[in-house]
Amino acid sequence: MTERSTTGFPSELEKFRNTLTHESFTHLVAGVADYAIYLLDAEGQVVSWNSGAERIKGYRADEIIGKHFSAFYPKDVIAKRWPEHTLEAAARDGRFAEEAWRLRKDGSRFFANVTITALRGLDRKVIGYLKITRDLSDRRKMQALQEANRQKSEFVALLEKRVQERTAQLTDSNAQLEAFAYTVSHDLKAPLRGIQGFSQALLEDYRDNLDDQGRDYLRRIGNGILRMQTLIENLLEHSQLSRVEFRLTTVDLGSAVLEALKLLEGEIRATNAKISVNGKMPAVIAQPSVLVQSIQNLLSNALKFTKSGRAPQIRVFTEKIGEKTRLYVQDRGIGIEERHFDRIFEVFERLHGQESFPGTGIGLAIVKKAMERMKGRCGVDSKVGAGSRFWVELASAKPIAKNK
Amino acid sequence: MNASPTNILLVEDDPNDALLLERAFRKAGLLYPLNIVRDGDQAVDFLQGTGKYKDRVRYPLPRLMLLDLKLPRRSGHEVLKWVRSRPGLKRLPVIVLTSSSEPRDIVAAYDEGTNSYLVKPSNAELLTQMVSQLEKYWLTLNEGPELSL
Repeated sequence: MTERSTTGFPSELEKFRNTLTHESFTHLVAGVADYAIYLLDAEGQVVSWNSGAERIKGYRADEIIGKHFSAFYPKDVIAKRWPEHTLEAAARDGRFAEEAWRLRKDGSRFFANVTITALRGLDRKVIGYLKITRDLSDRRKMQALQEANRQKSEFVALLEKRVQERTAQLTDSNAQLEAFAYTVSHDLKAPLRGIQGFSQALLEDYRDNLDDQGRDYLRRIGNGILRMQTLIENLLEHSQLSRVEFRLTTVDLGSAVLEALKLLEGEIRATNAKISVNGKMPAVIAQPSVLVQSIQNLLSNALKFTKSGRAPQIRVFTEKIGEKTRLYVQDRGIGIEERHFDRIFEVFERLHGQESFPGTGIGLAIVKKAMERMKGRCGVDSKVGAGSRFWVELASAKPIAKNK
Repeated sequence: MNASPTNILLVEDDPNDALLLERAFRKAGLLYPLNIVRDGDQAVDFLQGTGKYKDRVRYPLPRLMLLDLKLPRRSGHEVLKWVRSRPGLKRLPVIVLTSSSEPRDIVAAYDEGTNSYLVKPSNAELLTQMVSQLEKYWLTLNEGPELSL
């Protein structure tokens, strides 16, 4: 280590140096790798250098000792005489500390925590300075990371708030939909019930006061009312499908088909339909009443769209497709052109006039909505003149255990 | 026959529905006195014999109440809850007769203690059938409780 006296008070500095070069202390300081710990003389020239200083600043001891400590400062602050100012401040106040940019030997910058402590001789005069510099680059990175994290959580909080707002809006519009459905079910049906009731009362109670034409008019009013009532009922069913909570359970497909057939007993008898149901049917995951309604709608269509004068012939059967079960309702009716395959599942879509095949155009839309809500699918294959094969597909379930 | 009342209280705000129900009773050949009130407040007045229904001879406690749900001033749900909270009235047989088939209404009405829930039929013929069956069960077969106030 180069040793030389500089200006000032060499004897005092020597003494001080001697104190510091006390073996154990020197050893201790030299071994500190996390901090640059070094001494400056009263003029600011480097007097000692530890391993931390070498690591942080990049100079070996023999390269820097005797040099002025302003070598560690960026040019812009040297121009402002900042290094000198820090020494003056330390001399005046005993200690000076700052966090600022410093230069490494290779010219790269690092952010540092710097403490300068003035060292005084017996006569209270400043004989030198102890400088401790800590590289804050890691801490800066940590802070940047913390900042990024903070921004991230702010963003997440914002997102959550948006989701909450959106959910509130949706809940609100759901409530509005519910209010609307209530209005439909109550306020629209009530006057219609009045019209129906009184036109029927006219027809029954004043039958003899009306001629044939009068009675025919009343029957026509009755038909209009019936259509309107069916429409309201179907709309209500459709909207209920969207609103009502679904509890999916295991449903025996065979029983569901039988129940749907029972509900259509009147139509089946009236049309003289021949219906064959594949004996053994698996269980599926569904909502029982909604499944029955869907099957009923498919059967009802099969009963309705027949070639004139022919009794409907309907076959109901299932097929396993992987984890799913498909239920087919096949008829030999009028059939559907392929370009209409998608359209017919939309609300109010109809392919025929009321004269030939009356209906509201909601039946298949209900089937579609029902399948969506039960995590299933539906579709159709058809050929004009040959008949249609509608299907619904649901997740298969383990068969319902029969109690012994 | 004892002196128990034979009248039915109909709580119905729609005059058409009330008229058609009266006709249905006639059509079914039933001659029960039918008292009709138009809103929930009137129903409460009638049942506790207050306001214009002070005269218990003209307005006796009914054997059965047919209760619409959507009513002015006080809903059918509120009337039902009120009836079930009155010591002398709480056992009054109540049949909800409404156009609502909303699951929400049905569940609420049973929770509030209705004895039965009927949806108004969509045509007069079915209404006559319903009234006829209702009379057979609730006014002939069914043994009603003693009421007092």
